[in-house]
Amino acid sequence: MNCLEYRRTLLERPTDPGSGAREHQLACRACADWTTQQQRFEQRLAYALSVPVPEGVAERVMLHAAWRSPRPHWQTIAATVAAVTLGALLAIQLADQPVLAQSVLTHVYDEPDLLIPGSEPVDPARLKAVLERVGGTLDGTIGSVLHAGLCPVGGKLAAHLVVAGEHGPIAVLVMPEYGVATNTAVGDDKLHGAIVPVGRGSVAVIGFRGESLDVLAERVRTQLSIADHGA
Amino acid sequence: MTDKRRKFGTLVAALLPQLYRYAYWLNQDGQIAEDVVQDALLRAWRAIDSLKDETRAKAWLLTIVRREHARRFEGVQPVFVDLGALELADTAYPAEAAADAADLRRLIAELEPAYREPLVLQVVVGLSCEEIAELLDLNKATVLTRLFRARRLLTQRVAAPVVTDAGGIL
Repeated sequence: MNCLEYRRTLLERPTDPGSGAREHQLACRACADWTTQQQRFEQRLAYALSVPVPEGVAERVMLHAAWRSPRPHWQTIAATVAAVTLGALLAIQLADQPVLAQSVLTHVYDEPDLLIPGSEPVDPARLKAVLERVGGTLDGTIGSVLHAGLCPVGGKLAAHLVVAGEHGPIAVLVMPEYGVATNTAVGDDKLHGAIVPVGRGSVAVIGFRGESLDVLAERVRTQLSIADHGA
Repeated sequence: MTDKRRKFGTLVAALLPQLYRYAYWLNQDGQIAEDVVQDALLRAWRAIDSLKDETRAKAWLLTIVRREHARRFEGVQPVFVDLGALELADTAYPAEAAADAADLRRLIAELEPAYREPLVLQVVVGLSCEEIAELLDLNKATVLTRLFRARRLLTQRVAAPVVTDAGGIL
């Protein structure tokens, strides 16, 4: 092994270059010195890349997994058929709706897991952090929030909250990049709701048909604010 | 607890730090990385029966994390984060090492994703060049070139030219 091959080997396998490389290192002073510097840099690199991992992520995943069993094959097929049918119906029904309303409904359908009831309320600190990322502040409570995450809606960053309703989960999408002049109705044969103007942006409140959303929409309108300059 | 759930729990416990760090370096946002990893693992759980070869579990999960990240942020302008404002606690190491890591993190974040991603997969996840090439759908020579350039850029920027004298190795 020559110097060129040695250094290429070390680049390819920095932690375990093999016996041939070790023999070359012992025999070549220049490569031995280079390796010392290289290993020092690799240690710094490994340390810098190893950002701290938040606590409790594994536990939360296993908690969710506990009530979301893997689907048997026939159920997967049925779910696929249902999704395709629903998608086709949705496309027909949304043809006349504003673009934002379409984006909102499409996003809710894209996150089918969040339409399934049975989760635990999220940590208030997490809710606060998620809202802050979109410039949102909650003054009071809008109900039991079961999920809080960041998602793209129509290509723009939004906060996706899920609030417990009487007939199932209710999606609350906080969208700082989309302003609406007045309340805009959203719906199809399965879901219904409204996009409400809040500050410079808007908030969509979407639930299953039969779910009363007026109280939650009013809470959102009065207790949630979106700053002029979100994250 | 079923065997299947126990097996999945073992996988999660063993691989979560690597998956999280990989997701973190895809966008440098801890909150989003956590969401991406959680959603990716739940997708993995639902599809666990499709994992026939357990020795491929790491590559399988990394692929799901990568796809989940791409799915979420397809067409979205990246959100640039001031790494200096991030609270990445380095309490287990001396302050000097923590300061050095913070500087290096800033430089790593400035690397083009095409260079940063293979570097993370090699250093943090421990994948071989062949595995990185397969995951990123590249050939091995391209992976080697990107790894070399990533290190060269970093060492040039931290003014510690440990790789530059190997400029002709590829």
